[in-house]
Parts: sequence; structure tokens; C-alpha cells
Amino acid sequence: MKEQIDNGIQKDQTKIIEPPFSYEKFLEDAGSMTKEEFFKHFMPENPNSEEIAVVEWMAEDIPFKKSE
Amino acid sequence: MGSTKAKPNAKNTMSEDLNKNEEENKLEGEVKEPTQDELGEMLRGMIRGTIDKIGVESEVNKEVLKKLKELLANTPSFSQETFNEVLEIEKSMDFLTRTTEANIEAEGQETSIDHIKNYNPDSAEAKVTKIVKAPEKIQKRFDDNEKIHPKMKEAMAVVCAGVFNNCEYPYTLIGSNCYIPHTEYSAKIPDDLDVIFGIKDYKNVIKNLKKLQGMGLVKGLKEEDVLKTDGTKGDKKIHCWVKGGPNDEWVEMEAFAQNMVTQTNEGKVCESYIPLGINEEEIEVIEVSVMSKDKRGKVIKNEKGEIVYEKVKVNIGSEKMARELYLKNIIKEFNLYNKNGWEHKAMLNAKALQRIFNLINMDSEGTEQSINNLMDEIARIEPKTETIRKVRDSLVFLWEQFKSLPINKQDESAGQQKGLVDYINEINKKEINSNQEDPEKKTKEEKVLATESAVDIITKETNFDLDEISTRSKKLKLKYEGVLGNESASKEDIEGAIDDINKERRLLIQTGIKYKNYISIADSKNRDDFCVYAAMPMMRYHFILPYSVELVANKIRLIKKLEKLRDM
Repeated sequence: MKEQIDNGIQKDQTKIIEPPFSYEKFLEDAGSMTKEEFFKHFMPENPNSEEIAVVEWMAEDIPFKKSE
Repeated sequence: MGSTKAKPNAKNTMSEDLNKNEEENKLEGEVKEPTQDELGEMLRGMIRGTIDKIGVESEVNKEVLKKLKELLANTPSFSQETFNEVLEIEKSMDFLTRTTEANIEAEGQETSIDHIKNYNPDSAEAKVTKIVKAPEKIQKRFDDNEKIHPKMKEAMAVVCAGVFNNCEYPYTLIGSNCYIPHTEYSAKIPDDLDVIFGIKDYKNVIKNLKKLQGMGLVKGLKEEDVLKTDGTKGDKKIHCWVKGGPNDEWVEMEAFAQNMVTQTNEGKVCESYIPLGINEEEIEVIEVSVMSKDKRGKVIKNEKGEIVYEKVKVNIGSEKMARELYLKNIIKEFNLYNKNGWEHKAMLNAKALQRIFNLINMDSEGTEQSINNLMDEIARIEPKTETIRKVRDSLVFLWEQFKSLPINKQDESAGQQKGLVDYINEINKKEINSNQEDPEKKTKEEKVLATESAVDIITKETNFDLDEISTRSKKLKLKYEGVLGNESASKEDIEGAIDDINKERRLLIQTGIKYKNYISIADSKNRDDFCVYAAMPMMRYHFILPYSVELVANKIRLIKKLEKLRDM
């Protein structure tokens, strides 16, 4: 069976989702915490290796406050 | 009974069969009376033949069919009464056919189609519009029902013959009916009709659509204003459903009336992505072969009871036009993110993945250069605006990021080209099969179909995840902001909010694991992976990272509030 598509000219059947997070707030919040604080509060209890790796992956591109 | 003469146009009636039987017997020198069982079987054959000739095009025929089926079920052996009854039905069919033929003669050109018969070739709009016969391969793709469904062709014929081929100014089908015929391989078929035409034809288009609605060939006709991005009224839009076949098959249609050169010269603006009748555009004319119908929408049959087919000419946009449309759609997807301060961080909306794939999958594209071509084409779009520059920069950024990903060495050593596309299809149990016999074509088609499938899956998946994060984050925010803003919030209230954040953290980590895994599988040597990969950075930078930071920042605030409460 062939699949049918919408052509999306001026009508999109795919819902458009805008980021609900403000970029300015992201910079402000990120700048208010150190990387260590982020790890402490975001890492789940007894994390497995996959969870540790993903939190590290997320932290790579967050503009944290420099550690004192 | 053998003397009973059947009507000349009633094929394979029992009387003809009996005459034929007698003649054959005479030729063979034998005179053999048929048995009651043989006569009964012949009568049933006659009923079946009549049923086959009827079809279900009208309510009247449905009643006749019902009657014939009853007769068939209740005719275990020959019955003169049943035989006469079936003959009467055949006579009435003959009457209907002759009536239809008389209608055709009386109506003259009413049922014949002259391609854009009122077209004004001297208009300024026509002078910038090149209308050419579609290349053979494009026509063949229309003839082949694999690419365009018969119901779509029926609907195209109905609206083009009855409405748009009467336009004075250029019109064309755009969207999937323009894109799909310009692809060699695709597992998709168009499911709706999109048309653009000149605003000066608007009144006539509406009048003719109403006429078709009166004939039962169009339903749900609505006139709407297209809203511009600033919320003001733009072009006129018509929405309706067009009949695409006898069994209540309806095809959705949107037709956009747009300003052409006469109006833009008066200072009006064309809101459409395709400046038809303004800039030089090329339209290809294809022919669709469809069942002829009379004024009442009844399928016309010839004297032998066979359906009469006719060819209707239909305008579709050229490949160049399809490219222009998708390029501009990509820009639209980027443009949506110029909000909430993300203006300089434009990323692709999930839908844009399909646009990118559509563009690199068109006939004239080779895989190797297609993505670079796409970026160059975006840079050339007129008028050159800041948005277009940002879109190009963002695409280049995505492409550079993709190229910096590692090559999937493990699969390479195994001599396979496995990457993200194959992985996505594999975990979603999508089997990709090509019917091509030529091994080279088979490989090429399977590659295209696999990418198309993976793009579809990841479009839906990222869209779902974006929606989930968006909805959950808004709901959670209300809760912890309520607690943070409440001076008399209890210890339990605060701890409850912290617990909710911790639960949400788990969910977000799982989403992160999924997308991190996808990115690690993407093979920078496999360019098809780019279409799928392009959704990942947006998911990471615009959703996962800011959400994780927001959760931690508010968790810290809640902990401080809790500590303060304990100190009191």
C-alpha cells in the first residue's frame, strides 16, 4: 500500500511546536549554577552508566557559571 | 425460446447464447435440446452478465442491482418469468444508454474538454508563463496508477475540466501532485489537491465550483481568507471536496487565488510562495484519462455497454516550481523559531526534514551534491532577506556538525552502509522492498525508500517528543511556580514539588538517552542520514538543554525555600 502524504503548502498537518523555553532565561539559569551543581541536582540517585553519560552529554553545551 | 431476439447492444444475453448454441449444433450436425439444468445455468449466466454491465454509478442502478442479485439467488433452475424479467431490465439499461447518447448529441461540446479555452495568451500574466507539454516520463508517471491514484486523477479531471481549464489567466496544480511526478522513486502518493490561480478568475472559479456542487461532484465548498503572518487578511482561499470516484471517494482541495502582475503593478502584494503570473514560471501540461460523465455526473457507456474514457488536460508545476515551493517551505520552518529569544539560534522544525528530503530526491538531483546544492539554492532565493541568510547559515551549521560526526567504522569494516536511516527502520520494523529487476536500480530505489521511511518516522517521533516536553514543562512550571510564589507553602508542598521535578528529570534523561543514541549512530559518510539527523540538534539545544537547566534552577530555589522554612 502506498502511503498518503499531505503536501504542506500552506496547510501543515504536523503540529508546529515552538520551544517553550526562553533563550534569555536559559542563559540566566545556566549562568546561575555551576556544572557541579547541575550534576548534583540533575543526576538521578544510583545512576547507571547510560544515565551518567547522557547527563555529561547534556552538560557539554550548557554555559554554566565558572566554578569558584 | 430460440426465436426470442435480444437487443443488438445487449452482450452475451441468454437469447444470444441460445441462438449461438443452435447454430453450433447445426454446424456440428447435431440437434440437441439443452437440459433444464443447462438452461438454468444459462439464465444465471445472463443475470451475472447483466450485473457486470451495470456498475453502481447511481441510486437507480443500485436498486436494479439489488433486484438482479435477488433473482440470481432465487433461480436454481430455468424460469420463463425470470427470463422475461431480466430482459425487461436489459431493455431499461438500453434506454438509459440511448438517453445518455442523446444527451451527448444535444449537449454538443458540454462534455468535451478544450484545454484552458478562455485563456488570454496576450495578457501580461500569460507572457511570463511558459506552458509546455509535460516530458514523456512525467506523463508516464501519471498514466501509471502507482504514483497518482485513479481517484486523484478523477478529481483532477473534474476540477480542471469543469473549473480551471476555463480560466483566463494561468493556473497550476502545486504541492504533492507537482512533486511526486518529478521523483523517480517514492513510496508516497498525493492525497489532496492544491491549486493556484489568478485573482481575476476568482468569480468564475467560484461560479463553476458551485455548478459542480449542484451536480454532486463537489461538496463542502467554503471561501476563506488566508491569514498573513501578521494576522491580517491575505489571499483568497477556496476549500472543498471533489468527487474522485463512484463510491463516495472524495479528495480534499485547496485553491488559492493570488495577485498576479496586473495587481502587483498596482502596488498589491502576492502572498504566494509561487509568483505565478508575475515572474517567469513553467507549467507542464499532462493528460489524465478518466471516465466520461454526462451533465448529471453519470458515467457514459457506449452502445456495447463499455465505459467511455476521455482525456482531460491538467496543468502541473514544473520540477523547478516544486523545488521553489519546498525551498520556501524550509525557510518557513526556520522562521517559526524567531520567538522567545531564539532568533539567532534558528533550527529546523521536524516538518522541514521532509522538505529537505523532497528536495534532494527530485529527478535532477544526484545524491552527492544535493545537500550543497540545496544550501546554494537557498542563498539564491529572491528577495534576499535576513531570514534567508539565517536559514542558510543554520543549514550550513547543521551540515558542518553532521560532517564532524564519526564514520560508522564498525559497519564499514563489515562492508555495510548501515547508519541512522537503517537503524530507525530496523527498530520500527520497516521492511524496504523494491520491485526493480535491475540490481543497480533496485539498490537506488531501496536507498530512497529507506530514507523516506526513516524521515517520516523521525518527523513523527520528534514532533511527539517536542509536544510531550512542551506540554509537561508548562504543567510542571505552574506547579512549582505556585509553590515558590506561595509564602505560606508547607514543607509537604515544597517536597512534593521537588519530587515532581525529580520524576520529570528521569523522563527527560530517557529522552536524552534516545537522541544521544541516534546521534551516535548517524554516519557522516552516509549523506542520507543528514535528513534524519537534522532534527536532533533542535531537540537537544532548544528543548532538552533549556528544560534540564530550568528544572535544576527551580529545584535549587525550592531547596533554598525548604531550608529557610526549616530555619524558622
